[in-house]
Amino acid sequence: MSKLKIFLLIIGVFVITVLFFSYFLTKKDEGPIEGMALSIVLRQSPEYKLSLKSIDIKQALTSDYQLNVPFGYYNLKILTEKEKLLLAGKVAKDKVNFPPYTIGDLVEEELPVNIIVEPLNEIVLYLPFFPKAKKVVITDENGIKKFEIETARLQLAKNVLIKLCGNGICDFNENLFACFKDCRFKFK
Amino acid sequence: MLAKKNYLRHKSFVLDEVGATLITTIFTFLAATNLVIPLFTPPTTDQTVSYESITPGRYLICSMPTPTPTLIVTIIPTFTPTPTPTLLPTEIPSSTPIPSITPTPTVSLAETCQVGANTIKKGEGLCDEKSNTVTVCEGNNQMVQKQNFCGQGQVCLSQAGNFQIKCNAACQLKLGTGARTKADLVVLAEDFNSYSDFLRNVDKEVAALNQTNLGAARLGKINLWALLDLNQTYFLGYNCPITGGSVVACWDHIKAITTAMSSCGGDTYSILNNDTHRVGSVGGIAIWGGNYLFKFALDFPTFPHELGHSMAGLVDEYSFGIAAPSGAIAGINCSEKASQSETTPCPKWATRFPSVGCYKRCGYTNFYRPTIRSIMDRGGTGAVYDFNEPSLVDGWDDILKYFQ
Repeated sequence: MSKLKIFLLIIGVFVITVLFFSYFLTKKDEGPIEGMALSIVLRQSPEYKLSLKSIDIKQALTSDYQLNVPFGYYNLKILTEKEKLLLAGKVAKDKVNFPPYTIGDLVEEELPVNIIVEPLNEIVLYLPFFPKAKKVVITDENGIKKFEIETARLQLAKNVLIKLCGNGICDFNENLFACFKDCRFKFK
Repeated sequence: MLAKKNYLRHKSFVLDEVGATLITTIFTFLAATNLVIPLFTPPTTDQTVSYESITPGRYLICSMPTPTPTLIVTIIPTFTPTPTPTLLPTEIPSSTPIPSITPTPTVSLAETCQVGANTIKKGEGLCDEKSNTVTVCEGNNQMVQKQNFCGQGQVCLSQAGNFQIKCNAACQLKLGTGARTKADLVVLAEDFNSYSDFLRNVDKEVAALNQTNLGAARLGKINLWALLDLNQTYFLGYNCPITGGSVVACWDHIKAITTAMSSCGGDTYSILNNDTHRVGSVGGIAIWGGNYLFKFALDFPTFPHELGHSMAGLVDEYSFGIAAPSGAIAGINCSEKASQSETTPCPKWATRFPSVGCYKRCGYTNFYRPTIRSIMDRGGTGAVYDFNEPSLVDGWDDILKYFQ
């Protein structure tokens, strides 16, 4: 057998092995479901007390929550049952009003304004939906727990994954076998 | 292909052209089929996968070859079947009103409809961009209105002189690569009637951003999306009461941020109003997390100025006409304390920014600013597009530090 044939045989075995394992590994993944969002709406009192207004899974995109918030904020954490961190980020807790920007030369006393900070009445979160998530924990700037939301009971409808196949995006939990139409070859 | 180098005890091999091409092809195949991702990278979704070619050269086993066979993963946050971050053609014909339909018998009536003087085929139709509604011909001169005809995450496009129904992604990438590792800024339309008009003005915003001194490194961490949804209003009213005062105009922040997040994966937003709610010379208003801009102000540094507030948390350097009340915080780009002279940096910047000064008046009349003029100063005569050094480093760099 020529060297080339041996090499091609090795490559072939390698490719088949990768295909085999990756197909099964995708099933065990802890990543988010692309295109699905954990939508949480929190009410906030003027004393910064939080309460849950609504929680839902929606077909929507999500924010990254990686913007560093320079004013008052809450830390967000999504954790698994074993306290494994799936997502960490920040969300603003205040509405910080800046003075308007005027075009043209204005008289100094025309707009006697300044920065006004007030608590947001509502905080809307569109978080990535992790099937393995157990809870969302919200802490303040000092790491003191402000609110915790159990998410383990939230499940996708059984047909949602089927619906996602065909959205044009080769989602993380899809592959060539699971969703050919989304994951067919896309050579650049 | 792979030639073992006997004289190298630490296991190395030399990859020639054929071997390199072969391995590149294999990895490209695996990347394109989304099969390699769970093995080689964290489980990130990929829309457009590109794979760096492995170049011929010597590779040490157990060390990372150069360039490394890592996947460059970019995510296009849309639901569209073809969500590559291509720009829209600059000119999209505006919506054509649907003329009244007068049923006139034609040769193949079952397969056609009459639209004014035109006979259109079954499956063709007209798009109303404002409402994202397609009026489609179903044959026998039956025109049926269908909302969201193109499906979630897509919109119909009207085309002058053409009745074929075209769809496009609702989130149009205007700046950046679309990679999810970047901060996503979504521009929302208010009271625009056509996508072309809205996108033309978004282009002005991008041009204003490029005119600043934010530079490629900072702007390279931002995706700017234009959301093609002309059917939303965010404006709430004038002289809205807020704690301890009022603002000249206000908008529905919750609706805006929800729309930006859910439609385009936005982290922050900017509403662009078609001057329908203009308040005198006010060009824009900002809160942390979002801003509201008027179209007339796009020829000025309004957009980057407001982003300075809503994204970077910078404060105004123009005069509020009053001294700071007790407890007022100077913010990133102002100082409570003066230095010996205007050209000496204020104490808070002396070590890190030795080239700045300390000029009286920074919002409050008794605060100090780092430069005579900057983009966070007033608009109008003498308005500039450059942020000063503390604004760039302590503002923008800090806010974007978790993005790539």
